[in-house]
Amino acid sequence: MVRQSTEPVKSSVFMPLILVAASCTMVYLLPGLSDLLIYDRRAILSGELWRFLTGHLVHFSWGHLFFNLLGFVIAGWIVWRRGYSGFWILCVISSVAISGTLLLQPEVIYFGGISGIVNAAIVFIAIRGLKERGGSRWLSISVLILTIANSVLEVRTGLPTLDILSDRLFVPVPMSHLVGGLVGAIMGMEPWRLFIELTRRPMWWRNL
Amino acid sequence: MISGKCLSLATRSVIFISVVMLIASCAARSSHNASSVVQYLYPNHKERVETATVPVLSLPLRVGIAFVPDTRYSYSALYSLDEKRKMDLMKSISAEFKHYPYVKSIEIIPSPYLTPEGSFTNLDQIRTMYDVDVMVLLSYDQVQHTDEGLLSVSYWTLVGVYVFKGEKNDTSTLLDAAVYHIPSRKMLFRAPGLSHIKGSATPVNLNEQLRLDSQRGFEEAAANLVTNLKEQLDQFKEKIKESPEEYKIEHKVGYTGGGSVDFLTLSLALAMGGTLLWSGNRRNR
Repeated sequence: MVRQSTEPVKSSVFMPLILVAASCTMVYLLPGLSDLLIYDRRAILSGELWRFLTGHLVHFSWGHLFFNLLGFVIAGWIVWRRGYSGFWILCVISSVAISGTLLLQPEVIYFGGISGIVNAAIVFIAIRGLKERGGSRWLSISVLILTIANSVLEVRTGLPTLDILSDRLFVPVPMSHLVGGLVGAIMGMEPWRLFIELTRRPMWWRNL
Repeated sequence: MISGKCLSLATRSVIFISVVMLIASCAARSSHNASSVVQYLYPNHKERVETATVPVLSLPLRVGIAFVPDTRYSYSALYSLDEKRKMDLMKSISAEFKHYPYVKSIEIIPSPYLTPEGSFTNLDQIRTMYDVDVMVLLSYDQVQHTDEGLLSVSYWTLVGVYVFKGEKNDTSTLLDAAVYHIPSRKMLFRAPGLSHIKGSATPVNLNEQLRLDSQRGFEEAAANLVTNLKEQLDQFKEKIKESPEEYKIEHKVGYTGGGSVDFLTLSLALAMGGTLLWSGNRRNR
């Protein structure tokens, strides 16, 4: 069972969380910066690989920025409160995975938005929450079911299920949420623990 | 009565210089060079004027940019905007807008493709030829005035014609961009670019100087136009948000994708956060 203390757990999440939120706002306020950081298929293919990560910091309207950051900050705060490790690894891996998937979609030339990472974080929290007892566990199960259903529906329809934005100036890419969710699920299972466990037992294959 | 013979040498010199200066100061000339979007789009007032409908902007936009044909009332144009200069100006303006995610391409349309008084029929032809939905129509108005200043007195020495810059030039340029959505016949927004240049020249290189001033005038006006166009574009984006009934936005697949948190995801995050906060507070009690 994961420890759930009454005091916030000191983890390395909080300050970087503020830093990412501030970076997203700065990138939005300085249009020249968003041109430099946005996921740009042609630029990535010509070697500007940082856009794999930084594209997620770019947003296209105040509404887009606000709701995405709200989701990201809440998810980050939950991770910080619960003291889960691996949040930043999750952010980096999900960023790369989403951008990598987008490369397989040649019709998407530009991409921006941190929502795929938010989806990854929510699934990550829900998977980790399965180890909890009582109400938290049931909430985690509900979150998982609803998130999976939502992502599948989004991919099928190509549109957000319950859209917040009214000023959309971009094409929604539901695949980013699905990929983020998958990364969140894998990372929530803490595969590195399995790896550590296995490496501690040199002859582990005998038990298979 | 005073006869001519009675005038002293000094008086005659004063009269001579005054006459010369008067003649010199009167020697002013001007030239006007212009084109008009209104004359191009609505050439005949008696004909039915095209009625604009609600534009459906299909993003990303394919944009065309062109100079409308010159008007007939241009007079004594020392420097008319040639095709190469037009192309250079259009390239410099379009380069500033190519990177916008909602702009797929900007096609530079050469002037011969725009017929004088071609109206929307001509725009429809261009739309078919270049596959553009939105057209940036550039027009201009340049007036150049030349006056002779005090230094023009030195021209009587002949050497002064080559040395002293007694010709005062004044070049005012307006470059105007009107952005039209071709299918709906609606003007989306417009922006002006202004420049005012003052210069001087000797009579020998007057025409050359006027040409240079004219070129500089267009370049400065184009730079000013880009700034104003960006402002107008921002205002237009706000206008679309504020009055969605006036402009409809569609998305073509294949440009800018985005990920946005939807209501359900945000609710789930809030529910988890709220539960955590509530359970933490309960334990603290």
